[in-house]
Amino acid sequence: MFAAVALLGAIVAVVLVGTVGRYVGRPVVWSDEVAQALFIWLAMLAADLTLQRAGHFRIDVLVGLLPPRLRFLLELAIKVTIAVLLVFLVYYGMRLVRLSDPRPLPMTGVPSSFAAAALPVAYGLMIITVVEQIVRHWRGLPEVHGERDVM
Amino acid sequence: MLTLIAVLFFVFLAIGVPVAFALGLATVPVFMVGDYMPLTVAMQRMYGATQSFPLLAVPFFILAGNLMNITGITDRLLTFARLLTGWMVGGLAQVSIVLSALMGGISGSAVADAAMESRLLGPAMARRGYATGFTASVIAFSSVITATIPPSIGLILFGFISEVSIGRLLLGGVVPGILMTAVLMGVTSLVAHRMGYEPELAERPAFREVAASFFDCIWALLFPVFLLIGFRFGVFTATEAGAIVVAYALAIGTFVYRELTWDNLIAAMRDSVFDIGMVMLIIVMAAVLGHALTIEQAPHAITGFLAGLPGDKYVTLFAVLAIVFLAGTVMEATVNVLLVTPLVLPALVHVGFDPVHMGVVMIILVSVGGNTPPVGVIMYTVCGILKCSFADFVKWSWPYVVAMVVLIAAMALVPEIVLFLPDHLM
Repeated sequence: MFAAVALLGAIVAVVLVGTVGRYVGRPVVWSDEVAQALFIWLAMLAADLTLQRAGHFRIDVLVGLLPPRLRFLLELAIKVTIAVLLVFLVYYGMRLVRLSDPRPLPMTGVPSSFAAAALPVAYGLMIITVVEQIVRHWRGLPEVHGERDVM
Repeated sequence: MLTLIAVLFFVFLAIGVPVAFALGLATVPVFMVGDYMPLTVAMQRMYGATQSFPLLAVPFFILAGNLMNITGITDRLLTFARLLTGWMVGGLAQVSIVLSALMGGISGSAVADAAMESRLLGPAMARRGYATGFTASVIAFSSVITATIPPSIGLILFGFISEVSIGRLLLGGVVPGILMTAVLMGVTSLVAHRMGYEPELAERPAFREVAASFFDCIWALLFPVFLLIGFRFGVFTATEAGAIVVAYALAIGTFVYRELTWDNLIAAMRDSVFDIGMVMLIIVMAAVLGHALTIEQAPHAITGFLAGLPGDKYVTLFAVLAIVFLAGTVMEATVNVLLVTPLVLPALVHVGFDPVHMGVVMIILVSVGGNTPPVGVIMYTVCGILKCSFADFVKWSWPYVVAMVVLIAAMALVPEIVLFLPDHLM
C-alpha cells in the first residue's frame, strides 16, 4: 500500500520535472522513461491491492440467483481457476524478464527487466491474495470489500 | 480461434469472474493449446500496454479529482449551487444537478460524484420529504454530467484507446454537458411541480451573496477553462496537463483553502490507487486479446459487417449505438470504453462519422448505462448509500431515461452540438 502511494507521488513528481524542465530550456531526457517504468509497477501493485478488496469489476447478477450451496462451489471454482491462471502468468512473466534482461532502456541504461519484473512480481502477490481469499471462503468468512466504488 | 475466445470470455463473464481475469482466462489457454504464438509474446503485450506516456494521464486525472474533493472545494461549490438554484421548486434536486455540473469541471468520475452527493445531499432531501427513488434518480442521472464536462476520464481513456485527439474530445464534451444540465433541470422541475416539492430557500438570494460565493470557488471554476486553454495552445500534452492539475489541486488545498492535511492527502492517494488498479489490470489483460484480434483481422471483419448494413449511414449509426447501449446496461462504463468502443468506432468512421463526435456520444451513452438495470454501477452506489430499492429507482428514473435518450439521439444526429467548440477553437 505504502509502496503504491509512494510510486504514485514519484510519478507525478517525475513528469512535473520533465514538463518544467522543457520550459526552462533544460529538457530532462529521462523523465518519460522513468515515469513509464514506475508506472508499470504502480499499475500492477495497484491491481493486487484492488484484488485484495475484491474491487475488480464483475457481473454478479446471475451468480446471485443460484442456491447458496452451488454459489459457494462456483465462487470457489472461480478463485481456484484464477489462481491457476496466475501461476502461468508468473512463469511466463519470469521468462519475459529473462529475455529482456540484456536490453537496456535507451536513456538511463537501466536493464528493461527492472520494469518487466513488475508483471511476475505482482502476479505472484495476486496468487497470495487469491489463496488467502480461498481459505477465507472455505471457512465461510465474508469477502473483504472496499468502502468505495471505482469510477 | 476467435469464436473460442469469445465463447470462453462470455461464459466466464456470466458466471461472475471479474472482467480482467475473464479476459486472461479466455485468451491464455487458447494461446497455449494452439501454436498461435508463444505466451511470452502475450506477456510482452501486457508489458507494452503499460509503456505508454499518454496513458499516464489517466492516473493523474483520477488523483486530481480525488484531491480536489478533499481540498474543501466541494463544500464551497455546494454553497454556490445552493444559492443559484435553491429557490426553485424542488430546490435541493436542482442543487444536486448544478453541483454535478460544477464538479464536472474538476472531477472526471460519475460514480465518485454520485457517491459524494448521496452522502452530502441525500439526508437533507429526505428531510424535505422527497421520495427516496426521486432523490436517487436525480443524483444518479446528474452524475453523468460530471462524466461529460472536462476533464472526463471516460473521454481521456477513449482518446487513448482509439487514438483520437484528447483535446478535441474534451472540448466536445462542454456543450453536451451544459445541454444535459438544462434538460435534467427541466425534467426535475416538471416532476417537482407535480409532487409539490418545496424550494430549499424561501426567496432568491441577493446578487451580492451569489457573487461572493462565486469568488469563493473561483479556483475550482477557472480550472476547466485553464485546462482547455492549455490544450488549445498545445502548451502541454494530456499527460503533462494531468501532472500540472495534481500540482494545482495541491497548491489550492495548501495555500488557498488551507484544508489539505497530510492524512487526507494520503487517503486521496490510496483511493486513487484502487481506482487505477481496476482500470489498469483490464488494460493489461485486454492487450493480449487486442493482439489476437489484430492477428485475426477481427476489427476489419466487424467494420465490414457494420458498415455493410443495408441502407444509409444512419442504419450503421443506429446499430452501433444500440450495441453500445446494450453493452452499457450490462457492463461498467470504463470497461465498455476499453472493450466495446474501439471495436465499433472504425465502422462509424468508415461510413463518414467524425470520431470526436461519436466518441462523445458513446461515452455519454455508456455513462447513462450505469443508471440502468441489470448492472449499473452508479445505480448500485446511489441506492446503496440512500437505502433505495432498485424497483423504486427504476420507477422514478424513467422520465430521466427518456430525456437522456432523446438528448443523445439529438447529439448523434446533429454533429454540430458536439463539434461546434472543437471545430471553432482548435
